[in-house]
Amino acid sequence: MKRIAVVVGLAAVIGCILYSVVRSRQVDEGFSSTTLEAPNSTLKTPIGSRLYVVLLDASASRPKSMILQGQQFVHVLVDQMTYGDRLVVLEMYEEGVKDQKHVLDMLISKSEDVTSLDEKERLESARKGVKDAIDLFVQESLEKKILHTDILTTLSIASEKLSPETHNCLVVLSDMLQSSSEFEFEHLRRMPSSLWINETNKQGLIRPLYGSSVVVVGADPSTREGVIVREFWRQYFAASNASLGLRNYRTTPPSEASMCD
Amino acid sequence: MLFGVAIIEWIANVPIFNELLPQEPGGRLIWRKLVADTAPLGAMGGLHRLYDRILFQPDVTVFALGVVIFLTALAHFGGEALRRWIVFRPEDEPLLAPSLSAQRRQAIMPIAASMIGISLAVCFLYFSRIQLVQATGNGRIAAEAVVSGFEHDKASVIAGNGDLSQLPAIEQSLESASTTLKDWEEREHFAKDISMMNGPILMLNFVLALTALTASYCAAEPKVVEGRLIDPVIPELKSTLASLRMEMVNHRQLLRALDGEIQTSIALAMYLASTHPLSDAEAKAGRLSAVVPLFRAENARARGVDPESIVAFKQAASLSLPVVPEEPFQVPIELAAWDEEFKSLRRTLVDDAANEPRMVGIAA
Repeated sequence: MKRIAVVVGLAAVIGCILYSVVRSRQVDEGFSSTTLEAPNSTLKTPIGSRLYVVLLDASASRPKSMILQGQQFVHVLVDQMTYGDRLVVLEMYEEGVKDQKHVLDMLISKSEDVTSLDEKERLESARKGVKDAIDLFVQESLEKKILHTDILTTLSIASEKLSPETHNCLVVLSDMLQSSSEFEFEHLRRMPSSLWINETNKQGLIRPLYGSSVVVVGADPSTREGVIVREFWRQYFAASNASLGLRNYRTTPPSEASMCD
Repeated sequence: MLFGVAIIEWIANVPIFNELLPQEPGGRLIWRKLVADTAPLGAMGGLHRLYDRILFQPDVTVFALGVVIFLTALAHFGGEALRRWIVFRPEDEPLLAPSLSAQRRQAIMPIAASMIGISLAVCFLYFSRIQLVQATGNGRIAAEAVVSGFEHDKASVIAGNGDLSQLPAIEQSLESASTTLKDWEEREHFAKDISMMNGPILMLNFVLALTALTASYCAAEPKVVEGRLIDPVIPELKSTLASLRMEMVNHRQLLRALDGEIQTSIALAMYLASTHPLSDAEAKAGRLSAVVPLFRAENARARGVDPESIVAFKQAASLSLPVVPEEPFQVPIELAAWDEEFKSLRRTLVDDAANEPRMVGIAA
């Protein structure tokens, strides 16, 4: 009986050693494959998640402090982002689609090695990465000399980034003064006619924004000219199937990100 | 005693084995959480952590238990064999000299095997602890390389040499790699601490093995009987020997009785085979036929009937008896073979009895 017990014990010990050796190899392989994996380059927003599209107007007409305030608001938005959410930052176009503009497109993805215990820390680090990227993007934009602001073209490009399957939030960090060869909103110099939106929409030139909630930061709704401009944009967004509430058309950023809900 | 020693050794070794064996991904994080959960329990938290430590990685715990059982079992068998080797001296018990020599001879193998086994197991633990420092150092260096790689990637992106949109993914990977690096640093620190204590731990392992060996050695206490130090194993051995001899005597008596019975049976079979009991069967049949008319007459007279008046009696009675074979009765062919085998066994028995040493007086 004792001999059987000893043999069984030895067999268990040898089995454990073999199992440990096999498992150590598996763990080593797993370590090298998960930590050295290249970042995912194909971005696709999962269905039902949030998609934030930020239009950054860093034109010379805007004070730097306002641009930085807008940047802080984007940081607040980033703090609300979770796994599967996507953020696209577009520089405002100046004159038509031929401009070469930078696009920052970031998806907060959850890699396979993330466990329930460290997913919070990993999410925070991803948010930090997003914020760092935004800061660099804004910094680069501020260094450029931008003279015009073609918001209409930029919205057309933004439409291509949006998706009807996601909850879309469109953040426009701009004074909303279109400044192109066709229109000049500053001091209402060349404003579109009251029929322009309907006619353009009928021609299919206003591209859909898929029910986006629009937040405008940096505009001036406190003057008569500002109100006229605001009403134009409200009608424009309504025509493009987006909603721009009065509270969301503002000069300073809101203190919370719930404006996008 | 052995059980207690095994438990102490096991509990002491579980943390070391946790470091010796590879850990599951995220294991450190879970352990930190478990430790943090026991913090509000105060001093009782230590017991909880011990319990958690044992159950945290069952494979490691089972492995540690296996090694400890391996050690104590070896020490146990070694101690037992050592005891036999020392106690069973043929010169002390001349009457049991052959048995004691055999016992001593058999004890050498367990002693040698247990000594080698204990040395190997303890050396395995010793060198594992030494390797642990190197292994964790290598792990830390590899983790540092991964971290610096991601930091380089990040710096490259920030410097404008890469895709800014990859920054969140790089940041996530960097976070993960930094956590891994921190784990490796902690493990290396622990390994260095263990390495500093490697010598004392080695001695402690030997002490525990020697304790188990001594416990097994001292399991049977010798007693002084009639002024002589007698190991309890000796009377036990004597008793076993006496019972075996008694059994042998009984078997021999049984054999003798069986021998007589077989001889008688074979002789009887031979005699019966040579008697020819059916050789006068015809004469007996004639005599039997002659008795029939007499029986008929006696029967009729007893019933008051004239036998001449019975029609059936007017014919002479004829007996139809089976034909008796003329050949004599043949014994089975096997009987000769059995007889030969019996004689052969008998010769062996006689030879064995002649070669057996004279039975000694046994007093247990």
